[in-house]
Amino acid sequence: MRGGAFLLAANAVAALAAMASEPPAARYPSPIELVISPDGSRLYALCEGTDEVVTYDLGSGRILHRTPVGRVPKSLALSPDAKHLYVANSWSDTISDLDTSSLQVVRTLPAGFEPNAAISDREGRFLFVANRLSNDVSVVDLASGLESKRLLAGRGAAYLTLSPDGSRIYCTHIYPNIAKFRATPESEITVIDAARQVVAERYRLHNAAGVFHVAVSADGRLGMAAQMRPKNLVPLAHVEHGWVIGNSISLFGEDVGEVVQISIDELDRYYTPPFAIAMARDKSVAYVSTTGSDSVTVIDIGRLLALIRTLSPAERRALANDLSASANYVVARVPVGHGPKGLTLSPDGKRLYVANRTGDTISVIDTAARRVVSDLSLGGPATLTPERRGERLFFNAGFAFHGHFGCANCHIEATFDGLSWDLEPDGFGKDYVDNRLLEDVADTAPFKWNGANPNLETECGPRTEKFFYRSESYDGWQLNDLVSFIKSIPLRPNRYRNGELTPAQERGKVIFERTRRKNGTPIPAKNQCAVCHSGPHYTNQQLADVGTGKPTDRSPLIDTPQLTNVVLTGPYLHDGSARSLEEIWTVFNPQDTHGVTNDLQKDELNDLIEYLKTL
Amino acid sequence: MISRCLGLVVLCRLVSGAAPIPVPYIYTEAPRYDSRASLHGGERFPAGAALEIVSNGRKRVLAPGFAASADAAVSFDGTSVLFSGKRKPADSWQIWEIPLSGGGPRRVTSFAEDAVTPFYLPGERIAYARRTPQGFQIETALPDGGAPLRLTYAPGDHILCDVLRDGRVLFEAPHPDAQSSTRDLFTVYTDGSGVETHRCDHGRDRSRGRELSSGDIIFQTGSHLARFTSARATQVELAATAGEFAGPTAEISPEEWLVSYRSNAAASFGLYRWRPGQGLPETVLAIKGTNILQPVLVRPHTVPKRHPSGLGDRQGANLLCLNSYVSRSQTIPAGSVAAVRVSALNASGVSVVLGQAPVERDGSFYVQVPSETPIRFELLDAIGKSIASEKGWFWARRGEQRVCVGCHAGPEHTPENRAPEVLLRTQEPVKMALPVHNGKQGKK
Repeated sequence: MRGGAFLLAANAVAALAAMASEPPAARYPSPIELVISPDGSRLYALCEGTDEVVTYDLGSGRILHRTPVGRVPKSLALSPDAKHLYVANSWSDTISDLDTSSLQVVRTLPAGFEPNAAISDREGRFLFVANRLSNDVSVVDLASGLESKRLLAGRGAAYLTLSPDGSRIYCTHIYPNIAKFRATPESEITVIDAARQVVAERYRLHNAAGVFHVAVSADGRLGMAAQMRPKNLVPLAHVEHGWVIGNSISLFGEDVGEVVQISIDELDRYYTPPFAIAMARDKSVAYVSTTGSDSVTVIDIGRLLALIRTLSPAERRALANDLSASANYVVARVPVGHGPKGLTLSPDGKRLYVANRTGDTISVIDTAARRVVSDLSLGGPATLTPERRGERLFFNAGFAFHGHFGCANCHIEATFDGLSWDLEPDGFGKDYVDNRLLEDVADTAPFKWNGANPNLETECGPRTEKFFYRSESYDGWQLNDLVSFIKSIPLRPNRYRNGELTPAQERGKVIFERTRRKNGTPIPAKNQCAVCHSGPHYTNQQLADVGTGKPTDRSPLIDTPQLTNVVLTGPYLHDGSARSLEEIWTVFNPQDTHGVTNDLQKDELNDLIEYLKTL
Repeated sequence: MISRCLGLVVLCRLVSGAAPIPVPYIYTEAPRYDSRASLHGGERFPAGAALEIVSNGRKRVLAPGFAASADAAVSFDGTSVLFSGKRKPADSWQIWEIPLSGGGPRRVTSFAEDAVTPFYLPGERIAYARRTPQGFQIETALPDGGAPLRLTYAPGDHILCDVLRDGRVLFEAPHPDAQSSTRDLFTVYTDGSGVETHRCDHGRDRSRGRELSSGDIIFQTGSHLARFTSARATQVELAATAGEFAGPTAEISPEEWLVSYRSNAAASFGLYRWRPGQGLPETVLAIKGTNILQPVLVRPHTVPKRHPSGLGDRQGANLLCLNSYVSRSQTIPAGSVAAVRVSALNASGVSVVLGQAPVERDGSFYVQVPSETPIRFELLDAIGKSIASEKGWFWARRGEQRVCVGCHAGPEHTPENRAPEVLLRTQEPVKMALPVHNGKQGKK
C-alpha cells in the first residue's frame, strides 16, 4: 500500500514537473506560398503558422534555414535580381525585406492595414503592396523605405502579379465590392500602370466574389485569376447543378479580348475553391490549386483558347455556368496533400511545388507524369490537436454533396464573404441573411440571425448537414474538432485602437454610451447602444426587434450581433441591407428604434463610427 | 437445364485460359431473358432464374429451394446478399436476404405484389421496386418491417439500378415522353425528393446502370454499353465491340469489368471479363441455352453517403422556376411566356389541370403543387396558347422545395446568380390542388 501511495505521489510530482517545463504549444507551419529561385536551386516556403520563411536546398531536399518574419505572413515575392525576398506580414502591417544571401531580414518596410501581397516593379525601385483591410495598394520607395502613394483597389485587396514587360501590375481582392442590396456581386482586377503608379483600368469580374491569385503568361497575352462565383441571390434549395458556388477562372488579355469566365467544375464533382495559378512558360498548361478539394487542376491552355475562339460573345458569357465545359480544357486533376494553397513551377517546368497548408507538407509534382512524386516536410508537430483537425475539416470541401463546397468557401480564410444569402428552410425569398465573421464567436451564443441555434455544435452539425451540405457530413468526433477550431479562430489585431482613444473616438464613445438625447430627454434602456451591445463582445446575446426587419422576414426579432472588429464586416444588418455603418442609422433607423440616432449630426455619426472601429 | 439442381458443384473448365476472378461472385442463370420487359410490363425471366455463387473455382446455388431467384445485391460489408425470389413458380417475387457465412434465406417483404431489384441503403434500410397498378414503384423500408416509404410516383415501371455513393438511388424508367418506347436513367434521393433524369440527352434506350469506382455510370444502351462521366452532359460511347451486352456489369478493377455478353443474337449471354477498348471480351462462363446475367462481386464496398432529408413540415411542394426561357429542347421567344399551366394525374390516372400561375418577365414562376402526385408544366402565351409543354411527369415530396434553372435546361446548366422577379414580387407560391369531386380529393 505504502509503496503504491509513494508511486502515485511520485507520478504526480513528475507530472507537475513536466507541466512546469512544458514548452508552449507547438505551432503548425501552415505553408501558404512558395517561390523558387531563378536557377531552381532554392525553394522558399512561407509558413503563416510559424511566421517564418523556410528555405530548401532543392539539390539535397534539405532545409537550409528558417527565417523569422512578421506575424501571419501571407505571401512572398522575389526582387527582379532575386537578391531580396519581400514578405507581406498581414498582422504586423509590415513587409519583411529578406536578403537571400544571408537569409536574414535586413529591414522592415511599411504597409497599410493587413498587407496580403507585395511585389517589386521590374526595376526594383518600388514595391507595390496589396492591403487587405484598407482595400488599397501601397507604393513603397525601396530606396528610402517610405511609402509614397496609395492606390484604391477592390475590397480586400489580396494578390498581385507583374506583367512580363513590367508595365502593368494586376491586383485582385477577396471580398466583393460593396454594392446595392441583393445586387449581383461585382469584383475587379485592378490594373496599375507600374511606371506612372496610377490605376490604369479596372477589369470588371461580374458575379465574382472571392478572387485569389492572378497570373500572366510569359508572352503577356493571357491573364488568369482564380475566383468563386456565388449563387447567393438564388434560394439555396439544393446543391446539385452548381447551385451554391461556381469555381472559376477569369481570363483576360489579348488572347481573349474581353474578360471571359470559365468553370473548372464538372457535373458531379467540384474543385473548390481555386486559389493559386501557375502557367507554364510556353503557355501550354496552367495549374490551379483547389484548396478544399486537395487537388491541382491542370488546364490545357491551347484547347481552352481554341474553344473560346469558336464561341460567340453570348456563348462566352454562358461558359462559366456550364458544368460540362471543363471537359474541353481540363486534362488532369492531381491529388495532393491537405489544403493546397500556393504553387510554383521550377524554371524548367518539370516540377510543380504545392504548399499544403493544413498538411504541413509540400507536394512535388512531376508535370509530365502529372502525379506527386515526393513530399517535402515542413517539420510541424507530429500529432494533430483537435483544433488542427478541425481546421482541416473547415477548409475541406469533401463533406458537401459532390464535394461542392466547405466552410471556408463562404467563411473565406475563416472570415466571411461579404454576401447575403437566401437559405431554403424558411421558404423562398424570405429571411435573407448576411454572412457573419467567425472571429470571436465562441461566447456569443445563440447562433443564426434568428438565434435558433443554441450552440456551435447545432449550427455546424445537423443544420449544416441538412440545409447546406445536403449530404452526410461530420461524425461526432469531427464535429467536436470543427467546433474546437472555430472557437480557436483568433481575433485579428484592431488597427484603430492604439492605446488612448483619439478625440473623435472619445466623442463617439460618449454617444455610444449616452443615456439621454441631445435635448436631455432620457433614452429608454432598451434603446441605448451600450445596453444591447454590452459585455466583452458587445452583445447581450438576446433577440431584439430594433425595427430593421423587412417584409420578407418571418420575424422581426434579430440576434444582437457582437461588434468586435465590426468595421471589417460590411455590409451590415441581419440581411446585409446597410452598405455602411452610417446607413444603419441614416437609412434603416427612421424611427429611432435601433438606438437613438436621428438627433445626431453627420460629424457625430462619424465620431460614432470612429469609436465602433475600435471595438 | 439450370445448374441450381446440382447444388454445390465443381466448375469444370468454365474458365478457359482466363485468370480467375479475384473474389467470389454471384450471377443469375436464366434460360430465357427479356431485357425490355419493363417497357411492356412483362417478366424478365419467363422460364425462371437462379442465383449462383462462385468461390475458389467452385459454384453452388446461392439460395436452394427457390423456383426463381435473381437480382443479387451484396451488403456493404460483404457478408450477406439481398435478392428477389419466389419459392414456387406461382408466387409473387419477394425480397429475401441470405447470409454468406451459412444459413437459410430470410424473407424480407411479404407483399401480394411482386417486389424486385433490392439494394442495401445506408442507415440500415433497403430499397426495392414493388409492382403497383401504375407499374413498379420504388420503396424503401427497414429490413425488419415497418411502413415502407415510397420514392417514385410517376406511371410506368421504375426499376432500381444502383445506389450511388453520393446517396442517391439510380433507377431506370420509361422515357418521359409517353410516345417513346425507350427507358432512361434517373436519380432520386432516399426520401423521394429531387427526382431528375441523370442526364438530359434523351432519346436512346438506357437501362441497367451501375456506378463504377471512378464515379462513372456504365449502362446498357441498345445492345452495347456506354457511360456517363462526371465531366460530360452527354453519354460517352465505349469502343465498338461486335456482339451484344446485357447490363448490369461488375467492376473487377478500374480497367476490367465482368460483363454479360454474347457474340451474336442467336447465342445465350455468357459471363465474360472485358477490358473496355481492348478487344473482345474473354470467356469466364458460357453455358449453351442458358443466359448468365447480373454479375456481382462479393466483397466489401463503400457505404454510400446518407441523405439527410430536409423536407419541411408543410403541405404540398414549392416549385420555383428561375427562367422558363432556358431550354435545351426548343427556343422559346423572349417575352412570349405569360403563364404556366400545371397539370396532374389524378387517382384514376386522368390528367387534370390544377391551375395557372403568372410567369414574370424574366421567365420565373413560383407554384405550390400537390405532393406525391405526377405533375407537369405547360408554358402559355398571353392568350393561353401553348408554347412548350413537358412530355412526361415528375413529382415532389411533401414539404419539398425545388428550384429549376429552366424548362429542360440540362444538368450542366448552373443558375444565373440573379434574384428571380417572382420572389421580388411575392414570397408566396400560387397554390394549386387536385380538384375535389364528391367530397373526395382526387389525390392518390
